[in-house]
Amino acid sequence: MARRSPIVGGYVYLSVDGVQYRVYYEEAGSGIPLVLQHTASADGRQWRHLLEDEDITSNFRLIAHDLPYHGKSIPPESERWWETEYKLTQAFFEKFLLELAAALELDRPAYMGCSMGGHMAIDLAIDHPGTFRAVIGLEAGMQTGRTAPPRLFEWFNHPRVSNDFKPALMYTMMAPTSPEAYRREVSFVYSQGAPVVMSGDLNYYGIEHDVTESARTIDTTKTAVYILGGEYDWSGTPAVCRALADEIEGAYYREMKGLGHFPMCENPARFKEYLMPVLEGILRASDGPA
Amino acid sequence: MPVLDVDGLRKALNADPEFRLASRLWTARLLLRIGEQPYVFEISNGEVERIVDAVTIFDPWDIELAGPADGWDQLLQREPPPFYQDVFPAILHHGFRMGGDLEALFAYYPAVRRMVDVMRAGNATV
Repeated sequence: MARRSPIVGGYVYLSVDGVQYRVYYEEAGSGIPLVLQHTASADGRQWRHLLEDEDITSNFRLIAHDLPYHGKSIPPESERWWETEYKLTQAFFEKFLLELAAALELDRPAYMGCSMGGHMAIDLAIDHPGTFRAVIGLEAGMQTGRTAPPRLFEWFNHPRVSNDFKPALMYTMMAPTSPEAYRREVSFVYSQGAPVVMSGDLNYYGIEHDVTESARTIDTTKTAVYILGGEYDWSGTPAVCRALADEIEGAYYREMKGLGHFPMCENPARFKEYLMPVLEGILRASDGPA
Repeated sequence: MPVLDVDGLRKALNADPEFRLASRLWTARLLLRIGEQPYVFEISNGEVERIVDAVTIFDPWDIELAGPADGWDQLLQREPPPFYQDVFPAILHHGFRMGGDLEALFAYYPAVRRMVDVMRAGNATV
């Protein structure tokens, strides 16, 4: 009999600001719901290793969705989206995640996101305290700053620069010691993103997200905050991640040695060493499996 | 300071399957500065025809990548330290720079990135 993955895929319809979206998601496991947010211009495949890891799925119900316009979550049928420049806004991003949690009837889920998803972990803790029992921000910072300047964004969607530029640059964000097969896979996923989506997602990642003045307002007794930063991530550097953690009373921070910007998919075995203590902490705070 | 084996590197690049795929249809003159030492890579239709190490002011170029000599030492290590894993992070964090025709540089960034891999694999220096 052929080996079968425990991952199950499905679609859920939900609405944000009166627009209906058909959203693809994959899930595996049972226990505390853990919503997994992919990076800019990528999709939920980045979490595939976690979804097949019984050490994790034995206590957590993992949900890896594709944001609208990403992966299998196609643009909304009702909109003339081809006449508008795609831009991910913080307001939409937050509403979408809340609607997703409601549509899937998740009870005080935990959240983990990477890169722009990491930034969103912090925005959720600020704007919706207690909605998520814990947030894990991978490669999260107070703001992106000079490593993703808006002048760079135009090159991700330039008519005379092919879609090959994006995966090549993403390849450079990973640790050289991460397994090559996985680094190539990360790049391959990036090669499949619509060209307009990368620059549009960076509107949130590089411009809108700025918690310089608000990070300190987070109440970690309502939403626990965990921040993990990869040693080789040249955008969300360890210094950037640590500076964010230092602003938040009660936040947990670890630098992940030998990892870069995509820890969960560039080297899942190494990432697991850093993730398991965090998940155990969430379990303890939740008084055991849900 | 790394000193390029210009003929060995030219052969290694032309024999590298990934570089050849990424450099398809590429014709350019790439200036690489290792400290004070310039090299011009003459690339025609995806093939490195020559790497000039006796560069003069009369040698034109389209794209420039430059970094300090000790930075290239770090960048060409098999397991480079953080932000030396590629030229782009070295530009952001370690004083490297790019210049010239950025449109061509970004269009052929997969080839440029691979070129550094090939240099790092021991084919670059004498």
